[in-house]
Amino acid sequence: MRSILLLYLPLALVEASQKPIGDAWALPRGLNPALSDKYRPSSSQTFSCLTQPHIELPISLLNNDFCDCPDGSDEPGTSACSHIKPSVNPLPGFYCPNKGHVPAYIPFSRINDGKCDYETCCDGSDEWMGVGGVQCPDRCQEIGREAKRAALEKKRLYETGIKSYKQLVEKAALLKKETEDKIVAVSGEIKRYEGLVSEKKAALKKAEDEEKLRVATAGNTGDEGKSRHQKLLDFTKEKISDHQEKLLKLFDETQRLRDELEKTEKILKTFKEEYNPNFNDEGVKRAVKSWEDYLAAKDSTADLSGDFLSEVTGLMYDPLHWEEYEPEQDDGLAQDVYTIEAFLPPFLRSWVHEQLSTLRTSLVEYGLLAARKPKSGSTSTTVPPHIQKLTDDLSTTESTLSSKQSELTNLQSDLTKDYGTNSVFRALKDVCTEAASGEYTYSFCHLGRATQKNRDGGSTHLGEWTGFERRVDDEIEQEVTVIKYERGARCWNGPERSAYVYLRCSAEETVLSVAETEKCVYKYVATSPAVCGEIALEGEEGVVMGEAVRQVN
Amino acid sequence: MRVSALSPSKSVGGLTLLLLLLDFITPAATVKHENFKTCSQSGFCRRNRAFADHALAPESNWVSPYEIKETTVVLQNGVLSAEILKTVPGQTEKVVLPLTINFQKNGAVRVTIDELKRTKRDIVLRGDSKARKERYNEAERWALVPNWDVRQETVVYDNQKGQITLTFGPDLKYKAIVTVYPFNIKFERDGETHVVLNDRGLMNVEHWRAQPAAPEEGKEKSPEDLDGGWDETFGGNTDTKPRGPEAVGMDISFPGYDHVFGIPSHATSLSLKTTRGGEGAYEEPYRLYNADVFEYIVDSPMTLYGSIPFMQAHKKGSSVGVLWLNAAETWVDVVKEKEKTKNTKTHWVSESGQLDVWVFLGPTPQTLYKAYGELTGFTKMPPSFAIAYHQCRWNYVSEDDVKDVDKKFDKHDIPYDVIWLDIEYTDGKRYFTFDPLTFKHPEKMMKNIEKTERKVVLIIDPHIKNIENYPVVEELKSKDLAVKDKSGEIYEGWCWPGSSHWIDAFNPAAIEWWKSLFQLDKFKGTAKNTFIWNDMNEPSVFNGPETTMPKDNLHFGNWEHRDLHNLNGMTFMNATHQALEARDVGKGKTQRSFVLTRAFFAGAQRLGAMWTGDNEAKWEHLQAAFPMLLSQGIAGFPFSGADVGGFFGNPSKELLTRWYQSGIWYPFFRAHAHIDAKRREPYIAGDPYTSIIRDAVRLRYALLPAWYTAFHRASKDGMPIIRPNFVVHPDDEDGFEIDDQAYIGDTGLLVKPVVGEGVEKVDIHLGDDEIYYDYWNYKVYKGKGKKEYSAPLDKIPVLMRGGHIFPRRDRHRRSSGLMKHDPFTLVVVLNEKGNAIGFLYHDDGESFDYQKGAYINRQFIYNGALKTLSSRDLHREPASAAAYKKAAKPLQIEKIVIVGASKSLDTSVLAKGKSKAKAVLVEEDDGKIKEWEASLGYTAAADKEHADILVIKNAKLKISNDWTVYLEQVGGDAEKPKDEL
Repeated sequence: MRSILLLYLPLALVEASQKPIGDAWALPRGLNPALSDKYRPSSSQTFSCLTQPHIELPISLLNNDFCDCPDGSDEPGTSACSHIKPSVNPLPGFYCPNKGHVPAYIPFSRINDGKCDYETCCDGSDEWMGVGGVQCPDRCQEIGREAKRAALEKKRLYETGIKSYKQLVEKAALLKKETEDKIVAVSGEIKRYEGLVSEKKAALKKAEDEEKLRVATAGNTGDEGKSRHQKLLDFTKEKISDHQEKLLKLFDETQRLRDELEKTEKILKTFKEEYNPNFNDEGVKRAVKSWEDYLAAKDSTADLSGDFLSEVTGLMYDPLHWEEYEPEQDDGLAQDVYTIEAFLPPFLRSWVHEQLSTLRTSLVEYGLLAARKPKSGSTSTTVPPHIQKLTDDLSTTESTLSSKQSELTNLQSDLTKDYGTNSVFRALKDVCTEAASGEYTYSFCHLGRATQKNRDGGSTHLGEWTGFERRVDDEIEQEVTVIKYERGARCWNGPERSAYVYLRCSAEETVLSVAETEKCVYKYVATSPAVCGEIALEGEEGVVMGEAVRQVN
Repeated sequence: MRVSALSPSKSVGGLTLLLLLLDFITPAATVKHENFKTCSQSGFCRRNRAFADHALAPESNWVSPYEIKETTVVLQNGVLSAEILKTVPGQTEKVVLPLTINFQKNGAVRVTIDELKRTKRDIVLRGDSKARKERYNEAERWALVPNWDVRQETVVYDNQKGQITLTFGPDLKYKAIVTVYPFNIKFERDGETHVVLNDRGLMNVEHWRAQPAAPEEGKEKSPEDLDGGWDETFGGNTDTKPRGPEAVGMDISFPGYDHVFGIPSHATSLSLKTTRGGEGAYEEPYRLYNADVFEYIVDSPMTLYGSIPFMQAHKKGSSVGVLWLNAAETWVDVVKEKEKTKNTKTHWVSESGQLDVWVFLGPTPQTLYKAYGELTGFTKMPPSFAIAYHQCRWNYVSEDDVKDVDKKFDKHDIPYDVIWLDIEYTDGKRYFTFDPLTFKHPEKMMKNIEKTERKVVLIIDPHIKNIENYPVVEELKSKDLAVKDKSGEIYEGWCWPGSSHWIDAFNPAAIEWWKSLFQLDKFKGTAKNTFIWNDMNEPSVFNGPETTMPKDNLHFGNWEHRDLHNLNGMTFMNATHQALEARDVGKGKTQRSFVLTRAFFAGAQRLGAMWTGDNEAKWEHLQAAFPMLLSQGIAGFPFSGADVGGFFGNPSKELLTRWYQSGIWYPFFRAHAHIDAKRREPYIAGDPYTSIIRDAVRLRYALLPAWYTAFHRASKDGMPIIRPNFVVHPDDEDGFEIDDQAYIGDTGLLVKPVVGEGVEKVDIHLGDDEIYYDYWNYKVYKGKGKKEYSAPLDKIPVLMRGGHIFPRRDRHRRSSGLMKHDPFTLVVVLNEKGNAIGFLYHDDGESFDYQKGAYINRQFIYNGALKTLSSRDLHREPASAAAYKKAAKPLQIEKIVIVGASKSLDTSVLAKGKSKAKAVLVEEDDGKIKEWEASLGYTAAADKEHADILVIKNAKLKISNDWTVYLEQVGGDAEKPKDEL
């Protein structure tokens, strides 16, 4: 026992500076001074294991390089209890005082392993035994100086970053205000145009009614024994049946092509599944990649939906019940030809509209239908100029209204979109940043897309902006804002590409590094003033303090 | 739009479901069977199976047409030579086959049969082939150790009535009884027949013959025109076979034996199954033809990446073995007779070469492995890092990636020793280069890894990219060191780099050149902590027949590839091994090599480690690994592992965790993943998985001294590092087939990994009535047979067998290199009598100094009656160890744990907790006797089902010294502690 004390005497001298003034007892090696009271020997020269105080041990067993306490708390200064799990050992590690720098805990597994761990223990106190002849002189002065310089630099960057951040927030607020103002303005416009439309509709209706009345009064001449209406109806029937036939043919042809495509895709699919990726045939690899790319591109293109196809099939086979359309007046039919669209589901409307326009055009060409309204009683097929004018006027107004409405929708959705805290990213919209990494250049655009560019000018789509989330950046061990880019081009033998941009606060928009962390999943580490607000919340001092705290932990 | 997006994915979903279903019905139906031959697609296998069917048909009165010409028999210097005459139907002239029987001092016997015409080169080759005319006779140059031929000069000869009896072996207890006609040899030990060659008359040496002209119309084809004997086409490749049919076949019987083991590598049970009918029989013979089998299936006799044609037959009281020393394509049929007597009968066929069989008569597994090892060499002592944990992936893609992985291991406090770089580190698959964009500063990377004493393993394959301005291929061509095609031009095939050439490592000049390429100043970016992985050395050729080289390719000496295919991988590994050993790592120093190979043959254990190739992240592959690795140990190549996690696919977190818990018991412990697989480094899974994996890896690290000691044992006498039940309990007939549990070296640790999904308990088979203790809670298991052991996810099933002592190093470090100054713990596991014995081997773990005596080799004996634990020197020449002992002085034993202390000590006083008893330690240090005391810690048994534990604390005994710990005080009255130290 005595010999052990003797052995430790020189150490006690070394640590004399740490011991509380007026206290004969020296702080045990590797212990945080804050815990020193827990180890103060009792009158019977014993101490207790920290979490099992019923286990009392002679003070000679403290730091005697043999693990006595089941919780490992008897060896704060050696590696003897390094096998005790951190969840069991109440000591977070060996405490390096690091005088001149920031104190830090180093895991017990690194004590006396023959390696200087200056990253944590700049004072070299972790290698006090000098195993294998290792010497770790105190480097805290220089490391501390460097760390302070780096911290200052970081602080400076943060400060500039915070300034830029504030500007961004202001700009974003301004942009937001602009949008809000626009919404008010556009809403007003819409109201006005709605009024105009209904006014114009009424005016047109009135004019048309008058005109109808005028025509009816003029009398229907009728000719060649068949009413003109009947003729029109016959022609329409014939034309529609012709269209149905052609549509049928077209449909069959489409079906045939679809079948062929399906067959071909099946071949390629089997090819992709059965080829041997171990046999690194470049040709095969290229073919598989093109196939993957094709598939990826295909997913994002519109396809004819099943519902749509059945609708079209309906159009091909369901004969119109013409008797329902037998009009009392000619205009009725024409009206129906125009308004048939109204009965269609919205997604079909534009397609049918197109088809009907073609029909209408041909009807007009055959002189069977007036450009807008059949005009009876006269050989002329022209609409009376005043009605034409009213019609044109109405349609212009309507289209203005609809464009205003969609503008409003856009503005409103923009307002509700997630632009991050304080909508700061609004100010960065479409700002792009890039950096070279390995054989590629990687870029990302705020609220746009992320791209991987080849040397030869080709580029791969890594994903579209889909939003933000918080994740731990394990390099700095902090939770940070991450911009997500997803649904990029599909990978060869893998998923759709995606990219995640981990942001750190700095004055500039830069990309620090890019790595493919998983197959086809890219991790960008980038800086942006946009996230300086998160730090600003902690207070500017918190930045430097945070660093220090982290090192201790 | 929305609907349209749904419809295609719906069909994909359906297909996936279908595929999943198919997958379920035929597990892992992924191997491309059509790429590999069945016996019926391999001419000589088909012929020889038909030959066997004909000979064995009940109605045939088959007599083997081979006869010894008695007048030619000569016995000289332990070698009997004679001529065997083969009668060919319809021919008067007999085929002369020179026979030699070589008797070795250790009791091994070699029977070699050649063909006279071939030895005289008196044959005409088909086509304008440049191939050699002899039967291949150089397999021994690679497979056997240089000085293997140690003869027994005192063989006793007796010839009576056409039966030649040769008495030989230790104490002349063995007999070889050679019957002159029909030729066969029975091997007896202690009057009992154990091995019979040509027992069933299936010997078949296909003599050379000119290709008969095609028969005229309506006429029968000549009997010399063998089926599949000439040009043979498979998968679009035609083998020109310049020497026509030339297979050699022999049946080998093991009378009275019910179990045969060995002939790795096959994804099958340890005890080989029958292949010609019977319960659970395979339809195909076991095949040995090293091949790059993509996504191989389990439970199959299909060939894999490496071959060792060594087979052990075992029964209660006896173990014998044979080595079929032939490197050509080989098939082995196994038949078992179960009726009156249990007999195992095997039938071996190789495509070409000599008929060369070694017979070993045991009688124990231990003596068998020793004799086999004396012939093919023992496992080389690896550098110590090589038995720690290896972290691999195809690929760590950049220096930053490597740095990141390295940092994360430390951050998560998981030890690892080696980070591996697969093919993507190269500049466009040019070996000996680094990608200039992703690995700009490899030397910096090596240095960074070196900081924690870690290593980097780089892949280097035998295919050399055929491209302009690549000095390596230019030298390969200009120095004429590549494998040639049948016309003698440099062979060109496809592998990772595209068009490639292959180094011919059979050529001594190629080995010399290869050695030059690895010097640190030549292979820029490498450092002394860089080691090498040889993959694709079967060789794998993407566009070749069965994904390998055409058989009519030519190697050094104009030997056909056919003759030496199974040796190819090993010769390449040999070149790399020599190159690494030749590296000047500073100041003219050299160090031990570490080479991992995929292809191998008998003898490759002298060169490095192997792994079981490209397995899959599936439970059945986890299950398959243990039997495969046990089989490697049987066949003398125990430094083996399987990719932890499974190479292809993504393991579930449970599977990954269980795989680590299993992988820590692989002699070679490496995690690996395919490039398309998700990242799965142990820290990724998250808790509880990461913590459980960390605990498992730490257990491996704590036990490294025990593993190193087991490697040492393997390097001295060929005992497997992980041992199946039948090796440890050779008389436990119930346990001969057990291949899902193993003993670790001589530690007495019995492990049984959990290899099933959702499994939370295992049945551990105890092979004897010794007492066993749970490693974790000292629960007692006793009585031969199955014992249920609870194994939730966080528990690794490990028992400690009573009677053993094993070393540990309990301090946790970042790498094994950083443990080198740490003290040891001894775990003393007492048997019923209170005794235990164990070993510790230690050396510097990197240099060759151990070969000059710089090592520590101790035996620890706990004597239950005397209540002492002592350390005894096992060093062969203690004087040569003096300097090393001095250097090793700081290495101490800090802690001694005695499990089941009450088996030896009266622990009643201790149990009361009042005892102040101490252990008295006496050590001889530099000729001086020192004595001191150490305090004790005692944990009483929780109940009758658990053992009590006594700990000797802070012992400070030196591992290099003789010492004794006296515990006789324990039971008595507590004495006052002495005060002198």
